[in-house]
Order: sequence, then C-alpha cells, then structure tokens
Amino acid sequence: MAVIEAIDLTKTFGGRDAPAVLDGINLSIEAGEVFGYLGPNGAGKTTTIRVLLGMLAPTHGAVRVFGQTPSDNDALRARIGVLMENSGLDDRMTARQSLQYHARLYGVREPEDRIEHLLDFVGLSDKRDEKVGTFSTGMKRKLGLARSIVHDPELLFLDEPSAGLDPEAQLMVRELLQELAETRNITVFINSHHLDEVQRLCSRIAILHRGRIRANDTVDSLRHGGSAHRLEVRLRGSSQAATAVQLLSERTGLTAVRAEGAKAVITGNGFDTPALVAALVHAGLEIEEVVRPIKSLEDVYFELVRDKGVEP
Amino acid sequence: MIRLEHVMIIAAKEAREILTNKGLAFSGVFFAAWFSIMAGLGITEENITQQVQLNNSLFYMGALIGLFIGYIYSGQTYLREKQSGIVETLLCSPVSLRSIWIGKALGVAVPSTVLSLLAAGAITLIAGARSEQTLVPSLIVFVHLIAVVPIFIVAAVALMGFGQLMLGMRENMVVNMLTIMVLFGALAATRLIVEEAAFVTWTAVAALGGASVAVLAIIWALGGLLSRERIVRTIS
Repeated sequence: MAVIEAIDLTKTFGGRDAPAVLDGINLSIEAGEVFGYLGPNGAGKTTTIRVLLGMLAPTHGAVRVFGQTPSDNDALRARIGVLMENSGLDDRMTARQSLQYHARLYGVREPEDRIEHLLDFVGLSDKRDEKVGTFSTGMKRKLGLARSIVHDPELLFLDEPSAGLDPEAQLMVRELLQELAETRNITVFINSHHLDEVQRLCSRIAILHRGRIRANDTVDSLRHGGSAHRLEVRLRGSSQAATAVQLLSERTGLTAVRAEGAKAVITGNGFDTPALVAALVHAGLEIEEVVRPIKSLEDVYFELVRDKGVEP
Repeated sequence: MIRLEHVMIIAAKEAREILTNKGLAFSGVFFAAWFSIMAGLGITEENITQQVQLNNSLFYMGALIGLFIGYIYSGQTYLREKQSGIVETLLCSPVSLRSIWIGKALGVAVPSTVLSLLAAGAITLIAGARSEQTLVPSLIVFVHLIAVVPIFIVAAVALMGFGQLMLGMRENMVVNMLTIMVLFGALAATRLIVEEAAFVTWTAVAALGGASVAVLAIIWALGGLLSRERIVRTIS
C-alpha cells in the first residue's frame, strides 16, 4: 500500500475560478522511499505538504496518507514528523525543553533517554540547555530535525531542509538525513529546490512547475530519460562520420542522424545500440568511441522549467 | 477533540515562558505595579467613603489590570507564534485546534490573574497606608476577585486568541489598535467610575460572572469556525 497518494489533487485559493496552485497532481509514494519534490519557488511544494498534512483541503481530487484522509485526523498526525521551512522552534526555550515539549505532545513515554540520544545524533548535546534563540540557522535546522523525529514517526516531511544554510551546515544536515534514511525504515518526503541534495538523498523525485508535475521518476531514469535515445559515435575522421550518417539515415527507428566533425550523432525513439555499432563495423568504419551521454539532474530540471523563465 | 492532557502541556509551557522571560515578566509586573499605585493613591475621601472607593476600585481594576496584562501576553503567545511558524508546527502535531487555543488561553490567563490579584493586594495596602482607618475589601469583592475575575480573564484572553488565530496580520493590527484604545479609555475612566457611587453589589458580581461565562460559551461555539486552513492562510 502506498504511504502517500494524491489523486488529481487540485488546490486553488480564492474560489474555484482562481488560478490553480496545484493542478491535477498525482503521486504515489511507497513505504521506505526517500522522495524528492523539486521545483522553483512558488511552484506549489509547500502547498502540497500542507494538503498532505490536512492543513489545507483539496479543492478537487483526493489525498490519502497511510490510506486515510488527513484532515482533522489527529491519530494520523501522530505517525508523521514535520520540519517546515522556518523550523517552527520557540526561541525562548532551550534545546532540551523544545524536545521535551514536543515529546509530551506526541505522547512519548519516558522521553529523556530519547531526547539525549537525539541531541547527540544532531550534535547538539553540549547545547542542550542553551536557548534556541542563541542558535545559528544551521543549529536550529538540526534541532528542528531532532524535534521532527522525537516521536519516531513512520513518515517524515521536510520542507527545504537546507534552506538558508551555509555549505558546511548543508553538508551536516544532508549527512544527518542520509543516516536517518539508512538506519530507520521511514518514508521521507523532501521538498527542495536544492538539486544536489535531492540527487544525493532521494530514490525518486518529482519535478513540480507551476502547480503541475512535469516529471516523476528515479534520478537515474530522469538523467537517462532525455538522452536515452541519443548516441554519439566517434570515428576515425570526418569522412568516416559522413559515411556513417549516410549509412544510418536509411535505418528505421532513427529520428535524426548528423555528423559533427568526426562524430556521428544519432537520435531516435529507441534503437538497438549493439546492432547499430555492428552495422558500422560491418561497413568497415573504424570506431574510436561510443558514448551515450547522461544529463545531470540540473540539465533535466532546467529543461523542464527554464523555458518558462523560472530559475530554481 | 479537546484533550485535557494537551491543554495542560500547552498551558504549562506558555505560563512558564511568561514567568521566565525577563521582558514579558517585567512588563506584566510593571503595569500591575503602575496601575495599582495609581489606583491606590487615588482612593481619597471625596464623594464616597474610602471603603466604598476601595471596593469599587478593586472590582473595576481587578478585572481591568488582568485584561490589560492578558492582552500584552496574548500577543506574544498567539500572534508572535503564528508569525514565527510555531503555531504551524503545532498544527502538524496530533493536538486539536481547541486544545492549542484553550491551552494558550489558560497559559496566559493564569499569570495575568495572579498579577491582577497581586495588584488588588497592592491597591488595598497603598489605600490603607494613606488612610487613617483599616481598609479591607468586602466579601463581595473577595468573591469577585477569586471567582469572577479569573473567568473574566480566561474569557477575554480566549476571545483575543481566537481573533489572533482567525485574522490576518493586517486585520490583527487594526483590532490591536482598537483594543488598546478601549483599554486606555477604560483606564482613563477609572476615577470617574470609582469615585462616583457604590456599585459593587452581588448583582454586579453575578452580572459580570454571568457575562464572562456567556462569552466563554459563545467563543466555545465560535471555536467551530477555527480551522487549520484558516490559520495557515492568514499566517502571512
């Protein structure tokens, strides 16, 4: 059973005729997945989390978390941990008081050992009795992370977990999340526009733009997706490349074949690479290198959002 | 579904923060001291006896000082926490909206009531020190301070908290300005009310108590209008 399901989820603010913040979102996230939800600012990422947490009601469509409707469902919320973008910590409490407070609200029995363990886990043991207001942004983020898992949730929502952090603090938070994902069997939903973070942490990602999901797949598939049907064959000299182009132009399944210097660049909607290479070899052409280019996640991301004039 | 356990956890946290935060604790003590000194010094033999004036003053100021301090504290407890995202974190937890709302109201009302009662004591002592006779509040005033003032403060704070959770930031600014004007108007009218005639009667105590309970009942019903969506959409 999917832990999170969104079926044709649409959310508008200010009446049904207002522009949709979320427009027909379909998601299905399985137990144990670390799911990345990528998109530029204003794409609708935080709104999605709020709907999944039952804080906002869908205008159309439905969401289910652990098979249940999240609105007004306190029992369901007890199974979920959340770290919103602003951490939501009270500056006037100490780190330990903050964890104690939330542990009590979530009904954690005898939480002291767990709190000490979590403070140690996020590297704040020596700051346990200091006021949160004296913490740096990175320390607040780490404490927020500890608070979000104080009740040992089955599902964790993280909204921009490394937002506003310097590179060192980003690395620390990422390592914490990696450890969390590896050592605890929890499902993690990460909202981010930090491509590197998502690429390193997530088993699957969706790219959201202007309220719509533009891609939803594993990172590897997405990186191969745009170039899976592109092949670059470097031959000995441009004349051989021209010959290869002539030879391959007659083959079916290829959408374009062109020469770029000594390279023959082949694109198509699925083709048999070994058969192509064999045909070239059989024609007496000398192949020096065959490359199937893989795009970076950044390339994939910008292909999906840049044409709309939006930067991450 | 309201859960007493959650209400008490939230109330204890809010009360502890008010008491341990130097700025908040000082502002409450300062206003309680200031108003009680002014009220105590104002009790002099004029149209009515000092005893009657004391009863009038304790009846009026007991409620008003608690209301004023509750107003200051509720801004920190509801509005500041709403703006800083603390309330949203609570909304993500397995705690009902009513538990959050009422827990915070109790957490504010308890220290406000304590300060209000201390101020009533101070008014009595100051008035007594300036008088040649022993001044002791009447039984009606005692009952008013112990039984009615706490309910009045809880009702007022819960109402202010309800507004702060329901309204957007701009609307809250307007409501705050109006509230401040009403509170200062009420404070300015103190001498006029206290020095004119005896008005502390069982009927007056019962009326204020009944009105406070009625307000509590009304805002309890209004609590049905509170929703997570409403709060989240009025955060910014």
